[in-house]
Amino acid sequence: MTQYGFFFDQSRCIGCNACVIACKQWHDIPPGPVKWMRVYQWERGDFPQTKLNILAIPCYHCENPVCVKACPNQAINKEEKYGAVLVNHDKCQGTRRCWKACPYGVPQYESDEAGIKMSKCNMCIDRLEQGLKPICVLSCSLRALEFGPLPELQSKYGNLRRLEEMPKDSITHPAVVIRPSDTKIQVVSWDSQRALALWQKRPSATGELLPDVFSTPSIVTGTPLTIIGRSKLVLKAKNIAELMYYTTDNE
Amino acid sequence: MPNVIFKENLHNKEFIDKFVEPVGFEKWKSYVLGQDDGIEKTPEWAEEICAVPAQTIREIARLVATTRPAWLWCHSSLSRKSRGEQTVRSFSALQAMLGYWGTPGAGPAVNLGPARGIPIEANWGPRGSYEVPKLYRSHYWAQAVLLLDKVRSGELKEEEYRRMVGWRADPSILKDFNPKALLWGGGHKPHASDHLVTACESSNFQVAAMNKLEFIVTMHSVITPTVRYADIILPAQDWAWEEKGITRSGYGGFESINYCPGVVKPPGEVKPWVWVYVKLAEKLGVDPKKFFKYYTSDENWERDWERYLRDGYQLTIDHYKKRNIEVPSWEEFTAGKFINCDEMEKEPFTGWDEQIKQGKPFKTASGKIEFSCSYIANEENRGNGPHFDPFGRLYDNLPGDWGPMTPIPTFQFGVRGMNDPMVKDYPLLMLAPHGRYRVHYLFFNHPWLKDHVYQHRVWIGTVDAVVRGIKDGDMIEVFNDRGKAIMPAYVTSRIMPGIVAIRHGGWYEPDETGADRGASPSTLLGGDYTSCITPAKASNLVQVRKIEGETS
Repeated sequence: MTQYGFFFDQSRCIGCNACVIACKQWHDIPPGPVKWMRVYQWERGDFPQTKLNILAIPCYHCENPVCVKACPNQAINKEEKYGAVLVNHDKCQGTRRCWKACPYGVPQYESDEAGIKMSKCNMCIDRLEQGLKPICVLSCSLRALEFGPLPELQSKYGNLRRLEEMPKDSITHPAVVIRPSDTKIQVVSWDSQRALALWQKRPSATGELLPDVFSTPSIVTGTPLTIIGRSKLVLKAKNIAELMYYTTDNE
Repeated sequence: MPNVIFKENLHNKEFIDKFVEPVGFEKWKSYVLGQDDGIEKTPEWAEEICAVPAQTIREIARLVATTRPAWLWCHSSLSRKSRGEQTVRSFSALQAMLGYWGTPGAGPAVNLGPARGIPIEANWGPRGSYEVPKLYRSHYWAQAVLLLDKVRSGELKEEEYRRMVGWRADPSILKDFNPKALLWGGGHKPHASDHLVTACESSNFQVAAMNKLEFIVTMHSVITPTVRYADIILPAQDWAWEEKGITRSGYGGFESINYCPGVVKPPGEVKPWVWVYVKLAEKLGVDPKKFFKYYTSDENWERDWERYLRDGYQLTIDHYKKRNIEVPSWEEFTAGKFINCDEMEKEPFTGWDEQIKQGKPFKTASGKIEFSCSYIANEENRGNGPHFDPFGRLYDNLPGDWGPMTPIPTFQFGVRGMNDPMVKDYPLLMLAPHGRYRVHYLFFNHPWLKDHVYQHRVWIGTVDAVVRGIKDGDMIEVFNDRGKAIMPAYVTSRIMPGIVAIRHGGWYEPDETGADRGASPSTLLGGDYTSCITPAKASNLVQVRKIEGETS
């Protein structure tokens, strides 16, 4: 067996969700919480030194799929030709053991109800059999996703299988290669403290004295993370409300 | 930046001598160096306004001037804030003084439109002789209706009214102006056909103006916030999905010609928009062939329409044939083979290539790049003269409300902006940028988009949230003197302090208190009657407060 896998280029992804929609359309999944492909965004840093992280994540069809072993009903198997991890709906009893085992939150459920059956990304195995690429890869206009034999992806892009915020890959060996976004390069000097001090005061269009934009620069940089939207990556949401919160963009 | 470039002698003198009109250029230079008004536009002058430290401005100016070519992207979106058109104009001037116009990899970097001039549309038929008179700027139609009572009662001077609504007809017509009906036909551009309530300023004004009229006709296949107020809805297809058609996508350097095969079956009685006009012509006793020469009968509609499209595509084939370039046949084209215009050319597209490389004159009075626009400078043109777009097509008449538009690009504080004394009541500047999940208001009701892959929320910076006791997800009211909207907060460090943002195109849904629960930023826009070029402004001052007891 040749293990197939995904390549995700974080430096190219703009979090547009086209892959999420394309996946749902191809697999006939209605709008709602069942997202075989998920797009996460989480921000880091304080204004004005901020960074937005993005991750588009399907199932990584692990070389050592812990979900397979966790299932008491043998409903999940690792397929032979591409190494896809597939679920058998007839056997699934909705125990959610796979969900507990998977570090990536891949198993998807229509509701929070107990006993509801699981569904997940199937690597578009129907398309692979026709010589086509997975639909998420094809739909990506920024070409942030690629698919192919894992050794090929590794020789092209290296063997980084996780981002800093993601779970350790030493047990599951996810079939993915990730290129993290680039770090910013300072090409001109920029004093962020001076920029804040300037922004605090507003010149007046009429000469009349106007109130400051904020009281002191220290309150801009000292914000508690608890009030910020999506300040962390939460791959395993506790329930559907939380899943929708972390996998929706704010526009 | 121009100040640094002049002072350090980094401008391209050879280019300026050859392509730039000299008198206007000297006016601009004297403005930048402060010789005309005594205020030198140095980085130190600019840093207090824009909060980018002077040293950074200086270094960016040098970097742009010495990295040849340098690509500076400035989109027209900057003109959507009050006086923002001045920024866009300055960008073109900056790149002209560096000699970047017509240079591959550089250039004036503003929206050029489909610039290659490839014909895609067949001739419909002879044009009638009737020219629709233009009375006022259509974006101000609601004001034109609502303020009329004040003119009649003498509360508002006629002259002031004409300025506020961008009146451009003979002033004597105003005494007979008595609007009763509104015919709002977006026609083949449904993304434009809800511009009243969800894109024009002040949704509340739009609705009040519609309520004053006796008869309203609109054209759409979806019940949008504007269509709701119509007496008659002409059900027109969506050109992109439901109708067969040829479309051109992309601008300037990224042009393509595509076939729309009509992938979605239109609902109910929805018809092609041209068919609707054909039928209207018949009912008005006009031969529909005069409007659309391909029309033969309703039974043959499909065939007639295809003949029209095919003739249009033939123009594209002929255009390329003249240059010995083969493009897909009609059969291949309708089967999905599209034309990537970039691949058809040996050289990449460069804006104003013809003028710079082949010496063709620019479409200005002097034939050169005008830093000082002689057309705007001529007061006689105000409210009268025709105004052409960069391709020489009649765009509009120079409106009477051109107001403070200066012949050279100058810095002006925006009305209802960060530096307006109104900040004492409404301290936050709201921006209403376009979102990436819809075209204007189209698809706001799409179940696969809103609340599925994105949430329509107001962006508010951490510091502004902290001082108001707001955390992410809280329901907040955004309000000003134009209206109020209620929506969840997205608290983020990704927006500057003092700024909030609501994406353009939300659907106006007033509750019993008049608060817009659909959260259309249009509800909060308006109040600046000195608009310059861009009437569809998308910024205003607002205040924000947390609503207790409601969660998103």
